[in-house]
Amino acid sequence: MEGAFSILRMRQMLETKRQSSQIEIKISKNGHKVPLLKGIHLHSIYDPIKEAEALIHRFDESIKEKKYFLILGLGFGYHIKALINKLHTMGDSDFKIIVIEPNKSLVDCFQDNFPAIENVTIFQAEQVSEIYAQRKVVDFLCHLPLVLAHPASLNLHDHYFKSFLSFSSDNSVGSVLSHMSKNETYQALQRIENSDFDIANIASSPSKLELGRSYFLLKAIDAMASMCREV
Amino acid sequence: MKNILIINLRKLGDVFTTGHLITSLKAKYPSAKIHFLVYKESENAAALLADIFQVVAIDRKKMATLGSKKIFNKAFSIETLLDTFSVLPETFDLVINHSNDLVATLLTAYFSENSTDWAGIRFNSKDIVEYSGNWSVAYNDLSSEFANSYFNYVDLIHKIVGIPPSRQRSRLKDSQSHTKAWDGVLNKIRSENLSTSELKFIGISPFSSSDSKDIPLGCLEELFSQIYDDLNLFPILIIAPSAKERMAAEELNKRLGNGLVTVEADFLATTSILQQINFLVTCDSSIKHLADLNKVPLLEINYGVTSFSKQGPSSKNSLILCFNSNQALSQSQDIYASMKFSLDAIPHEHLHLGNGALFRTTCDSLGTKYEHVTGLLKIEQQVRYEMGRAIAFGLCNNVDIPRPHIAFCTGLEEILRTQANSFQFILKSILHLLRELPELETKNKRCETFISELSALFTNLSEDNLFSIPLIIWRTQLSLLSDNLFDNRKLFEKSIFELKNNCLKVDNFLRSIANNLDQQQEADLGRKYLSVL
Repeated sequence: MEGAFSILRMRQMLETKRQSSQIEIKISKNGHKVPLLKGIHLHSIYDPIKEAEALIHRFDESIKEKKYFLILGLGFGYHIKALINKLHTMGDSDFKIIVIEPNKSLVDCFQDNFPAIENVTIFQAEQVSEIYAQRKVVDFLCHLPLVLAHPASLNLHDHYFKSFLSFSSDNSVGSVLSHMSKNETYQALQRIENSDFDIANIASSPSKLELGRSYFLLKAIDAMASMCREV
Repeated sequence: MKNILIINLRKLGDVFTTGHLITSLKAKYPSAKIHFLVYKESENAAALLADIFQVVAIDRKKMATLGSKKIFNKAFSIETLLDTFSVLPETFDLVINHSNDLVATLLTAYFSENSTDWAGIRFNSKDIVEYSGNWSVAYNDLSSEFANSYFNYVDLIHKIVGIPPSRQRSRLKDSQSHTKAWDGVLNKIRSENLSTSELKFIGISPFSSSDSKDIPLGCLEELFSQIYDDLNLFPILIIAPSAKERMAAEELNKRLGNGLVTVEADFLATTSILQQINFLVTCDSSIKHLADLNKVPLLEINYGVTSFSKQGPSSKNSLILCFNSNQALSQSQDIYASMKFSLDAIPHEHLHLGNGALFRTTCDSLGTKYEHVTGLLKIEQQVRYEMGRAIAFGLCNNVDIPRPHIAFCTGLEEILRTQANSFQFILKSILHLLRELPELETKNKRCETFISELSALFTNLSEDNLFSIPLIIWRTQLSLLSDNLFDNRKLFEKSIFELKNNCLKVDNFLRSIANNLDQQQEADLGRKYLSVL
């Protein structure tokens, strides 16, 4: 197992190096750094700041009503800074931003070239499911954030972001267990791990009695979800 | 009792009514830690109840989002709810379901499994609702089946838990800064007042969550003017921090020549205000219940949207003024007269109302009761209420039905005759059921007859039919047996006999009332005869 793990790590390192060698940093006409990836400039090569401001300006009305923002695509963060400037001019400092970026090298490159930005957390994962497995992302998404896409990143990682936006979680007992900490309900679900049913249909499962009191907890969770569906 | 869990996942007003139960539990078990489980939107309201050890709030919005969006793995819903519960102890000595909604009933099943005792309703492993006793049936089925209830919800939850209601004022958290500020304002008003006697402050909270429950602006304008004319009274408008109420207050202020004293208060500030006013007029259930916990004398304005027999104030001598709708005429005069009556400025015999009917909270050996004071009332309805209340008390407590004093009135004989017919019908159905029961397994046709006989029994459930009370109690027993009627045949038979006994009890009770009426009538005739002589 140790050997296999090392090979996996080596592969990842090589992949990162390969990706990073693909990133080229150009300087825009007005002197700002612009990443070039697979032949695509991720920001305007003339004025990345003005371009970012124009992008954010399109969402002025929606931005006013939100405190949580999900940004698809990091680039070199000009659009993120434009959003923060906009929020500050609105007198808002109590906001949270999460950025989703599939390219690890770009994240590293960004962090090497720019200081950390306030209230901004960057999540990077090659698989979309890895993003949705993170509790912090899930808690954040529960606030129904405003989703802002960085157009150049979206073009570059079209398939990735489409998968991100249309993601559907696997709710088999095994998958649920893999996302849980080891508590009483975890142990109860383990007892029915091999039964082949979706946890959303727990009430019709013949194994429900094996769940003990956790059965009522799961049903209560489902009832709360139904309230939302009914609304 | 070390740890008690109360679950109430209802709205603000209902959460406040739990305050009565908390006060009573604390009086009986002073060292018990009371944990209060509510939804997040009621968290601040629940936190005002000072005798609580901790408020635990479920973020319903988050739970609904996590559970309904396909992007989230169900594990996160489970983890989020378990995180919320992580501050609660492993076991409880008592789990109380104070809201009969689905989620609360499932969570009662969850928590009670590891606990010593429970009260209210919960699910069993067959997904059937279990009742902790007959009072639980009265709370969850009897009072929800009909528009009116024989016992108010505060009484019912005490009867379910089996403790007497504490008549003490509930301990509520308040804000010292608000109290101090209010003291200053009221002292200033007092010093500027021309009255020679002590000035009484009348808090008026005329807006609620629904327009159909609000006191109309025209009526308020008249009411405030009437109170201003009385040198011994001073009105204060109490509003919640909302744009709707703020706008209405501004309009009223304009109509009253900008002299209105208005307080915009959240619940914490409202608690401070309630402690300093002499009387409250309100149509809003949250502030009504808050005042009721504080034992502030109050007048509830009820436009028929909610039933005061279920959710009326519990404090003795509170008043409820009922109108058919908030478009009724002469409301302000009726409100003013009722208020003056409560402040003892009008004797009972001089109290005359236009369109309203006034009720007063009283208490007898059966519990809280809403007594008719004056105004329009269907006498048959009141008589039926008195009889139903006694029947529900007797059957829920498994004691003889106590006999209320029922004076002879028009229509009473008709009520008793209708009940006697109902009894005959039910008795016949019971006998049919008993006859069909042994044949059930073998003959399908018998099965159909049995089921149609059973459903016929429940077609006549109504507030007018007093035999609905034993029938509804029986229906809950039936639901527990219904998952396997053949295996539970013996228990089923036993339950039918119990129903028969309960119906006989009700019939005897009604017969005794009829006999008593005959005696009353004879005595009346005798008196008339003697007076003629």
